[in-house]
Amino acid sequence: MMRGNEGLFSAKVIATNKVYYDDKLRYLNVRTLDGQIGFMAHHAPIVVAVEIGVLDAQKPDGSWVHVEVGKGILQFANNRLTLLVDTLETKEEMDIRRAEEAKERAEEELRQKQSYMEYKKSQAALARALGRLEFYKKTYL
Amino acid sequence: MPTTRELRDRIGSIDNTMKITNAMYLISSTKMRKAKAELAQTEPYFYTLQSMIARVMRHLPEDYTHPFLDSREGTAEGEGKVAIICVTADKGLAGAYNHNVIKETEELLKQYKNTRLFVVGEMGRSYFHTRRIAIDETFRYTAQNPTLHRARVITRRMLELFQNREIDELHIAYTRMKSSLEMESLEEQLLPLDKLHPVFVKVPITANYEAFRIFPNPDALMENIIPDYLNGYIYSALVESFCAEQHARMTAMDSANRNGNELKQKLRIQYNRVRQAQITQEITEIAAGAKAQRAAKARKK
Repeated sequence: MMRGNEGLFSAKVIATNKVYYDDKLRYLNVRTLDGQIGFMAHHAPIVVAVEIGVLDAQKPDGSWVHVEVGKGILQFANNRLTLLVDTLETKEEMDIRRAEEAKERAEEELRQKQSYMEYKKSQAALARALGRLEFYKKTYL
Repeated sequence: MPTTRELRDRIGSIDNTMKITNAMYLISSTKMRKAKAELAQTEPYFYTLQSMIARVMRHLPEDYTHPFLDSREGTAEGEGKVAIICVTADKGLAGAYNHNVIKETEELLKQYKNTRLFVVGEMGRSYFHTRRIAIDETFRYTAQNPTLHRARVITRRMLELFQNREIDELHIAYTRMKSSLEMESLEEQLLPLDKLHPVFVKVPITANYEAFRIFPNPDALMENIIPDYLNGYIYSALVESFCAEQHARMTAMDSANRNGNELKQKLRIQYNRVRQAQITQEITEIAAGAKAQRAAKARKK
């Protein structure tokens, strides 16, 4: 293998409305139902169900990117990583007021009597809002 | 022979109609461009998702079952409740677009005994309404400017019905752009996704594939991707239909414009002939009158 390409893998991060990243990466970390999982080059073939949470990735030059992702699926095979998520937001795109309002609204709804479907919907909305807020407040060095 | 006034009025009214058809042509062409750009943005996601699902299916255990994948008992005999989503336009004046997709839906309705109809777009709603075919009245979505959000709301509703066993199958009838010029209306089964089931997906023996670990487990994975897949499908069906509708309207308006021009030209020729005939007649009358006067004067002298 070429020097400089060592320890890298190809990655493709696709959201429903855009292709966010399509290049080499050194490291990638996502949240799953059972906790965080990290990927480095030549990871064993795996398919992962991704949960709402922060995605951390290290580019070949050592810099980090952090984005908030929604539910999705990740596949790693032949040193290629493909991640599909329904939503993806960078810190710049994030509307913190909207997230806070969404959180309050969801909490308000959860306090009321709801049908099972409404309950699930509010719960999902709350999880999304909390994920966004947590991501926003986090400071990266 | 019509009078010049009548002809002028007719040309004027054609002009007015053409102003409308021309505007509609321009509007639908911009709308179509916008919808196509949106579709192009989601295409990478959807195609990757499809190939990924196919790959995951190959790695599922042989005897794996999941409610989203297995057809339910009795559905093969036509006993199950079948939901049909029919995507029409909100407005007419789009050639045979609405008619084709409605025909497709009616064929589906004939195939199954127990159906439930969900209609997107005002044209389809009014069609089934006048024919007294029951449609879900709470399912009210416009066909205009499809958004992911609308697709999500529809998907959620359908999944809930499916999980509550209120429906056993879900079909969608929509229109697809076959190429940039041609379109076709078609029907697709969305739930259960039995055509994706490992039993039906034949793996070539020569395919050299490595064992995948599935994390945390196949069920969680399916719960994550099947709704997304459905949502992606419904969204792209909405967008494709919208594209096709705009395209159909564009062609319809284009031919209306062309017919209008042709008609106008014919009428203008007729108008000119009538006008010319009138002038000739007036000249002959004047000339004859003058001649008669001259003759009378000469006789007096």
